Amino acid sequence: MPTDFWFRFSTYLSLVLSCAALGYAEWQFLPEVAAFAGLIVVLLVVSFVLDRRFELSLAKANALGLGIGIAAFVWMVVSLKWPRSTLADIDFPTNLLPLIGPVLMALIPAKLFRPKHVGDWWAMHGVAVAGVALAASMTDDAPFVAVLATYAVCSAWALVLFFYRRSGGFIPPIPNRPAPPQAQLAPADPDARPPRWVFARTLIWLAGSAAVAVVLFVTLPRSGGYAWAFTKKYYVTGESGDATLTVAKSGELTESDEPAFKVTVTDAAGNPVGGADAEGNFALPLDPDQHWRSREYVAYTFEDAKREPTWQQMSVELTPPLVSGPAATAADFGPRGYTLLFELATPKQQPVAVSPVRWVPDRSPAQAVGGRTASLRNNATTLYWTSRPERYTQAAGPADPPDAGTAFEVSDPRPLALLKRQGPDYFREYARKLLADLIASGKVPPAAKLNDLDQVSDEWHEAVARAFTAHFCDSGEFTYTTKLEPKDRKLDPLVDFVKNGKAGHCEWFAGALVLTLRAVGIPAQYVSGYRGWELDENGDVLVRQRHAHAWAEVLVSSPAPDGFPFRVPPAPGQPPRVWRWVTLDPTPGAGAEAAASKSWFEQGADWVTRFLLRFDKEKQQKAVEELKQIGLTWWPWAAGGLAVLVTGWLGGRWWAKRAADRTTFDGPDWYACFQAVLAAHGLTRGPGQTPREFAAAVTAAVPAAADAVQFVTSKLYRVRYAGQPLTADEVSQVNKVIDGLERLWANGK
Amino acid sequence: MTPTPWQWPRPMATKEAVIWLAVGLLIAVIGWIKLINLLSFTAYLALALQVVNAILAWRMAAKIAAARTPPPPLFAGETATVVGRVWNRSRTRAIAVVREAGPTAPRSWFLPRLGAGESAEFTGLIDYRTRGRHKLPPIEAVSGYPFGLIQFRRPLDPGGDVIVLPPLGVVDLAELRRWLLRQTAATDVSRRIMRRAAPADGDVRGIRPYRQGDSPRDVHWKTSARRDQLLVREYDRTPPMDLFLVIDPWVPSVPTDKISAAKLETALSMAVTVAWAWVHGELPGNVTLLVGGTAWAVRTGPGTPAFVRAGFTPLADVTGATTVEPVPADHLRGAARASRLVITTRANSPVAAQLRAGGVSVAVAEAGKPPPWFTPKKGEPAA
Repeated sequence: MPTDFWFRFSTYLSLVLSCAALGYAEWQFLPEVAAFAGLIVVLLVVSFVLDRRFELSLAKANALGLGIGIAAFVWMVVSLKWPRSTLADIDFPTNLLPLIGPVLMALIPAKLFRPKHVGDWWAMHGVAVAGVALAASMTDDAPFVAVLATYAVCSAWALVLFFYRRSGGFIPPIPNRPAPPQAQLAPADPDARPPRWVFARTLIWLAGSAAVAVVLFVTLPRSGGYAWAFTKKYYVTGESGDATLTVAKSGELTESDEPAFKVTVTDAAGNPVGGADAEGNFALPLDPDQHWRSREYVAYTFEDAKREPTWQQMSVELTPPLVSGPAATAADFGPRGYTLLFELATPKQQPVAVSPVRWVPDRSPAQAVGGRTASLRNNATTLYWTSRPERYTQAAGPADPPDAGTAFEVSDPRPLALLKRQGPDYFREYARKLLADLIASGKVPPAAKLNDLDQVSDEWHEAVARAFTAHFCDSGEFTYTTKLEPKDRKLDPLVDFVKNGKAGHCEWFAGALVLTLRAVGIPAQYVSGYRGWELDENGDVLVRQRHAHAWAEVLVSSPAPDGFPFRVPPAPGQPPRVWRWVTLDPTPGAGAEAAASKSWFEQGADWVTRFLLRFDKEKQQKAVEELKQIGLTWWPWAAGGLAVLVTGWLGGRWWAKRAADRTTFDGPDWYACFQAVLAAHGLTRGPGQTPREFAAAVTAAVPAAADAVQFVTSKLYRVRYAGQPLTADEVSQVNKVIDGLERLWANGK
Repeated sequence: MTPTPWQWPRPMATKEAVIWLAVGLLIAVIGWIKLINLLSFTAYLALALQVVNAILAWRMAAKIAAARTPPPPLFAGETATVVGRVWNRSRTRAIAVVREAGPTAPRSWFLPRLGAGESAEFTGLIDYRTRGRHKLPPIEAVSGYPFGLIQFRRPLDPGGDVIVLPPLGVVDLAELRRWLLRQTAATDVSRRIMRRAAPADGDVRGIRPYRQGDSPRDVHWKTSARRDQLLVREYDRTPPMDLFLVIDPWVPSVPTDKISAAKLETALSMAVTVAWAWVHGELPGNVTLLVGGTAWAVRTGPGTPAFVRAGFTPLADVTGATTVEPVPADHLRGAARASRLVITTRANSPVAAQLRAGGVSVAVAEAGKPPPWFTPKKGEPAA
């Protein structure tokens, strides 16, 4: 029988872990809840130490619970009335969830400090399960999974010990309910099982249950739609599609394998393009690091006490509308041109396009399936749709250089100021120093130095921009990471990135580059979208949410080529110039971090994240398909193995039965006769009952037969164990005793 | 003590199981709708734990066999022990609870660990307040191993009858004997009946000189005359005293109050108390019990406590008779050498009259007027 100590220890430990899970999950929203969880843990420890030596009466315990409940309610009201930034970002009623946690935790000490009956222990297990479930809805990173798994082990262990203690009658029953008095049968505890035996068994049962749960998890159909998105401290890759983009983030970025869109490429003649040649090179006219643009962000808002630093969209009218009217025909890029058919994964998704967008004046760069066309206006790089299409085509063609867009005229240079809007002051200082360093190192010509206006002259914009990009990307000063850890939370996040942290992901690199370029007067904007692609099983180009990316675009000017079709004649006396967008990606290779050796814990965390936390419908389909494939391939072996197992099991049973039959001892004939006499009067030897036990049972039932039964049994043991056969006289004597036994009943005992 | 045939274990919908299942399903539904993987997995784990619990609990309940030996007849208000034995019929250990399936205050016995093929004894106290045939509550094996969420139960032993005799009061045996002597003396034949019959030869160990206080009846006159010295017989033991007990359990055909029922109970209690005191007295002889009714029940046996328990079982079933037939003559065999007592529920019992008319002197004790030597059991209703 497991001891009371281990029962209480396991139960209290599972309660502690439940509180720890809640505290961990709520740390990001309400740090005081984590502190409250710590207080509850201390109370649990005190209660464990003082259990049964100090207990509050029922009334006092209820008063304590009521007091804690009122305090928690007041705190909830205050939190809802004056929400902190994190709670304010969560919709009602979801923002109530973090407030429930402390209430659940408050119930635990109210129950613990009073005399406990069976119902109380069940209630505490229920509170712990509710707390863990609540925590699981708020966070689901790998450390939390570790806490959850530990809780599961402790909780199952506590349940087993609870079963023992309850069944043994060691825990008071629920008052006012009929509860049977429990009595432990002999043998009381001949070889007491140490707690580790129960613990080991619990682990086995839990592992079996987990295996069943995995099967259910993988095979049960999943509901459609997007995964639950509580405000979490990690960020899943993907294009947000929002008009504003928050920069103040911290925590871990995890990859989502959800598909974003699919692309089918056809050549100028309308034939599908794709497949791989003999060398494995794909014939697609797409760069492996193809950029797919979604949105541009121009304004960077910072140093605003009410809002976090954000990138915002803004209309920048640089040029007259380039495409007008819904009837515009598709652009034609000649024999090397191609058409991309986009199929978005979800409706109402922000449309994407190949970046940089190449276009032909008065020709539509993109057309929705069904007739609508996208227009290209004003900033010469953004596609405008009257309503978001789900399937549309984009005409594209080769360019030189490949990261440059189509040249266009800027009829009014005033809006360029929007693209030069300065960021935090630190970037001016940083950009100057960087430019000076680059000039000193010979990476930028000295002529690119700042002019009288404290700006880089127009003709050096592209060179300086590419040098700045190379600095962020290749200098080694900055590293790519998916863990965003601000060093100084008082600073602007991008300033903190450039000044202190020097580690971040694409959003930080792109934002920092844009602001650094603007600090030296180079017009630039922040672009969000996707980078890269993969082929799906049909050979189509598939882009997933984990391909989401951000980069910078810089607007560079150059002398206009001869015969450029200006729509607004250039001002006289000024050399005609044209402008074009150049894509600059300052993010170092994301593979650098992945290639770094990871500890076994990190690898495990990655595995849990990939196969449990981010398991989605597509992975499920893949898993099921793989299982089917494995089944189709291996079913003869599986069937054979199963047959061997069943045969072995049946054979084992047969062998065990045979062995048992062989060892079953019925004794000599006179003992069989003895058993028959007793059986005639309802005294049958039970299965597993030894002859001595049988003799004791008969003696208890018929005291008058005690001597005869003991005599026959002692003779049996002599024959059986001492190996001394009875003489003829002794057999005769035994038979007489058995006859006497029969007469005993005949004479009414 | 033979276990009943194996039966299929059946699940029990305990409150804990229902709540656990409901919570698991609720979490699973929330996890499924909101696509919260961790919540879904937690719910599946909780449900899988129930499945594991169900399988193990089923196995444990299926392993157990048990049987009980009903106790010998006992007196109302007497505490007795029911002895049972539980076996593990499997080749692996068993953990289960053996439980009485009675509607009220069921008792249970926990088997924390019963090895393969092992057996263990369990006992329980029983205490019935009223006479009659009471049924032992059936017992069943219940197992919620290992988590206690889902339980399976399996009937083990349907339970046998426990015969409960009328409650024992108190009888002053010496007073009873004197009372019997007086009562039967009044009939003019009692002295002869109550006087000890001539001793059997085997009872006499020898002779010795007369000492003051010796009974004159023990004087061996022949030898005394021959030796001219007063000599008395010396006995190994005194001869046993038989008891002939006749119960007249008459009740009116239309009972108007509880008195007639109480009289019957008093009469039966008096009968069993007299017999019990008689067999615990000095040198009890045989005891014969005649219980009246439309047919007479006769039990004769040695004056032992065991016989009183076993032979007086008709008293457990007596419900009273509106018509009590005369005692058949062949039932009176052996009455001549015994102390004869008629216990009746009515005044002027025709049974006693019939016996006296037949030349059998009897003492009559009326339940309505309990004799001074009898004190009913405390708490029993007075007649």
